[in-house]
Amino acid sequence: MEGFLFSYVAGKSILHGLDPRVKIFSVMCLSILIFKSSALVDLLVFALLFVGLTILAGSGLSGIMSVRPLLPIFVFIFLIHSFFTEGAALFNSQFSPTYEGLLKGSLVTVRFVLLILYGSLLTSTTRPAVITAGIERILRPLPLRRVGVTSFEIATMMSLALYFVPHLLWYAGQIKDSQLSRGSKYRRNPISGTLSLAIPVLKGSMRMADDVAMAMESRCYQGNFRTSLFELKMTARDVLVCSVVLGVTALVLYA
Amino acid sequence: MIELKGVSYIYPNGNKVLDDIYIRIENGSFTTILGDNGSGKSTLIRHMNGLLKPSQGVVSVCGMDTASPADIWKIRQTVGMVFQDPHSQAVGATVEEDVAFGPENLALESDEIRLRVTNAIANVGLECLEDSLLMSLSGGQLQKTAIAGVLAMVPEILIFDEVTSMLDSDSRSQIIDIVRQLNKRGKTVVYVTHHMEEALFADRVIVLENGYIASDGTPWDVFREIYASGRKVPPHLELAFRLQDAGMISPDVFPMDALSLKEEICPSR
Repeated sequence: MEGFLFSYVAGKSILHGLDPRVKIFSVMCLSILIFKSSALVDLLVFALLFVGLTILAGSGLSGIMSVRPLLPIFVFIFLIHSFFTEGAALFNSQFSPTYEGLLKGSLVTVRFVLLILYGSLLTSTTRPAVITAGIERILRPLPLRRVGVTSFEIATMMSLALYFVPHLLWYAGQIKDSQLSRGSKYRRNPISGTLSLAIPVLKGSMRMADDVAMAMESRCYQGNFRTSLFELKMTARDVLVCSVVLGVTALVLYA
Repeated sequence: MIELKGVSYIYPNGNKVLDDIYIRIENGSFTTILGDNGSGKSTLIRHMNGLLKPSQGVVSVCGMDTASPADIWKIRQTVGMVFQDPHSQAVGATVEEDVAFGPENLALESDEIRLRVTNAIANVGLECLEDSLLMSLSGGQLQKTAIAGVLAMVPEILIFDEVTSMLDSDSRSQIIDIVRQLNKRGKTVVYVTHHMEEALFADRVIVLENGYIASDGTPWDVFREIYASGRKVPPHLELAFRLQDAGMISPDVFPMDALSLKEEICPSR
């Protein structure tokens, strides 16, 4: 799975060793700052920071290329803004991109790319189970029980999704293949093909959910309180990083 | 010890699956439950760790009633259950995360969880795959992960519900070896299967038919009874019974496989 977007890459860098709560908090702060940035030069600073952090994580810049599957989405965002933002037309034509649109499109696209990259940096330096443990610890003080859910349940849902989303995709692929082998015209008519695929996938996933619930129950899952294999402990380094991130964010936002 | 007294179970749609079942499973024993699809095997064992409550009768585990909400978590800790489909019991992204799920539910300290996870993974021989993603494992490796997940809860009794039915023959024999080893180390085993060959290793075989106990005894007694009623038994056993009936081999012989039967007929020097 190495080299894929959002997949964990084992390592022993400073970033790998940071507490997940600090990393989640830092990504949230960076996301706010990226959204607040209104000039490409500001975004260039975040891009350089990302390059620095990637080198620090020891992942190598090849990881940046992992965003390639999202390229069509980036192009779409850029084109939409380029063509549908009011301003001075670039060509003498009825349907032409505008100068303002190009600028806005570049800004929005770069923001989006940076958000994805920083998210990817978080997941590539933190084991999925540690991220869920971190989120659970962040959510624990919140009065979630009042809305009928616990932080442990949310964390369990996330862990389950990490296994079941790829498994369901595999399952859907199996059903699609079996339908194609029995003469389904999925390729000729993707809409009706998708509908005929959706019902068995839904039925299968319901059955699977039932089985998983039974397996979880037989392993004493209650949802009220659990401990974790990955014990989270804030070190002086974590506190320092957190303070620096908080300070810089406050400075940029309110200075 | 598990004890079922007069247990019947009727599903909400009115379908009666178990009918007046009396079973007592002794500590340290290896019991196999045989039966065709729909005979009530899975329903029966789901009563043994409180996943289902009997419509009639009582199920007790080490003296605790499975119908008592106060005892249910202790019962599930005592009776570990491994299910048929290895994909539908995975709850973590990697092997160690999945194995840690049970001990985490028991709210143990992380050091204790780590120790239990390491031991359980070693017990099923998956040491080199600790950090592997479950999606990258074979069916046999996934089933071993599921067994490790149950072992990490240190149960006294282990129930295996057709755990080999979705596996190839190599993985199947590896899983059976693990189950036999666990029994030798003192775990009580209840093993559900519809493969007759897998029942030969047990101390006791219970045959279920349409929700009632059709036979109950040692593998020799039960397979003799099945053979006498004209139904199929594993080929080497059929040959052994025929030879016994013809007086060509001792009536006490109960060969586990074709090789041991061959040894009985013409011992190698």
